[in-house]
Amino acid sequence: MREKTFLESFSRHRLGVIGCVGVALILLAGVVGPFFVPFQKGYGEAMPLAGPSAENFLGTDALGLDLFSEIIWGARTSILISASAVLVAMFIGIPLGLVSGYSRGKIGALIDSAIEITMTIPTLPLMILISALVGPSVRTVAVVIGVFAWPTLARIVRNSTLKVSQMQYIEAAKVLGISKGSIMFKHILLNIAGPVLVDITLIMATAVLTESSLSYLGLGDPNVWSWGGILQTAFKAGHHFRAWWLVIFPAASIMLYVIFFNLLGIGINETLNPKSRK
Amino acid sequence: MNMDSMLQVRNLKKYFPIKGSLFGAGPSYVHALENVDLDLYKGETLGVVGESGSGKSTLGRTIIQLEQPTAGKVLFEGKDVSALKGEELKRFRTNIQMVFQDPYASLNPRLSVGYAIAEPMIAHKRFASKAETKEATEELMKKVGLQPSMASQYPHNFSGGQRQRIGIARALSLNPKVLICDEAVSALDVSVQSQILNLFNALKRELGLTYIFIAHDLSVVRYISDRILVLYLGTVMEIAPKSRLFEKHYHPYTESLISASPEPSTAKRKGRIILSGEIPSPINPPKGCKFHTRCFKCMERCKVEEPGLREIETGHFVRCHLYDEKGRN
Repeated sequence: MREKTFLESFSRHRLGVIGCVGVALILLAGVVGPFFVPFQKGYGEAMPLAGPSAENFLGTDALGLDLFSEIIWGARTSILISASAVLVAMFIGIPLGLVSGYSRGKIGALIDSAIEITMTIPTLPLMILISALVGPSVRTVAVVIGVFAWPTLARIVRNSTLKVSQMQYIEAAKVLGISKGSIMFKHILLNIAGPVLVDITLIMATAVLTESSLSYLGLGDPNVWSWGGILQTAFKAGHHFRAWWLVIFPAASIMLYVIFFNLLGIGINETLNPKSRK
Repeated sequence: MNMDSMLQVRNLKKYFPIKGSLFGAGPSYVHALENVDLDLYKGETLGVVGESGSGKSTLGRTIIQLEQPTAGKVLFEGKDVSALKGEELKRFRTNIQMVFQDPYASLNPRLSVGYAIAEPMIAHKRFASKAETKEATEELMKKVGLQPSMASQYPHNFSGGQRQRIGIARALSLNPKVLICDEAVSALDVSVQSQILNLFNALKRELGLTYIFIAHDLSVVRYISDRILVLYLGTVMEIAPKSRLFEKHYHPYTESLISASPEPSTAKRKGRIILSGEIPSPINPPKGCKFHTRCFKCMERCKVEEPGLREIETGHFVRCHLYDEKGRN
């Protein structure tokens, strides 16, 4: 009997497929969307604070700008920030996790305590502080989120590495004189790609939550549209009483983004470890 | 047989520390190997037998530097290799290679078979070009009875026997002089076992290899070895050329091992010696002779004094008080 491939098993995981389709739609909206939808600036020509209509699909904001366009450009910002945060977290977390899991010893213990200390730091207040000091921009927000997301990734890489390095094929590689670097970054990394991928989807989700929180607190980049920023403008002016769409649509976007990425992560995880499924 | 000793093990000891409990009296150790001495001659197959827990795998792993010896030396071609590091260790790796027990666990599931065989050659820069490496890989696959066209496939497409062939090809990729086979056939079906054993014999003839063949199965060791070393609780009990060991074994432990191996004919089945009890814990090995707790010929003296390894006949060594005087009991 042939073993089922990952994709075949994954396609049976209903929630995972929903997450995958949702993530694909979000990516489509955020990456391709901005080419078709104009960037909103200045004052709009439409009625300010008008509800959803045929012309303005999701209504307009206080300046008469089209909310649908703002949401699409907001998706672009969310993807940009969460993907950059993931890259930053991977760049720090994967090497540190591999080294601490594979070489153990003093260096391993040192990295281990670095992971634990970083994990105990309450991140949001610190991020607020840093964003306020450095000044709000997409790049700052992305780097700050990534710098605080690496410990979870490093810990997952470390734990998976501990398990994989017990395997006989790692010993075989050692005997064959394969270098430590190749053992870690090829032999081990290829075998822990699953859990890493799962954690990346979770970081994508939390990164958007953090980005929205920062924007909602007024620490987002003022030059781009972001879902948290739209909420912040609406609440600051008290428009949430009059224009429900200014609250519901951006909030729903944040929620769907988080849910879809989490579902994708759950799908991948449960396909890789069928036992974790109840 | 050529009597050049290419590998010498002298007084090899390996203790694994166990973490003492909070109220325990200091750290304790698993005594995996106790003063093992052996010589490996060029071109021979040395079989190592023993029960599980006898230290036979540790012996192989210590020789190949997967474990650091607690004391003693491993000399390869006259050079102590037990403290090698870095580049020197890497160079030493080309001399001695290992075939592992579990053909499923010893291949990385995410690397293609061709890459698994080629990787050591790339790491050691054996060839200048990719084409040469590829050619050598195909050559190795042919040598172990695999089709070179399967190089791009992944281990899960192969059966246990085929995987073991891949493991052998990988070990041979560095052109080693010595191959340590750690239970290399015990995970395989009996029919496949004989194919792999024949492959080992053919490769030995073709490449002039020397083997250390570790196994718990006496019939396998009997088939493939020239000399046999019997290990019990990390101690060498008897070493002898195969033909002589099966004909005339001196040590009571060897006697019980051989009598316990299954015989196809009922006529030969009588006189089986059943040992009482389990192999004692290597954390707290018995004083005196290691085997005295289970020996059916145990004397008072065996409980207090450990016998030395004595040459009874040329090339036949025994560690037993029964043979302390030149004659026999």
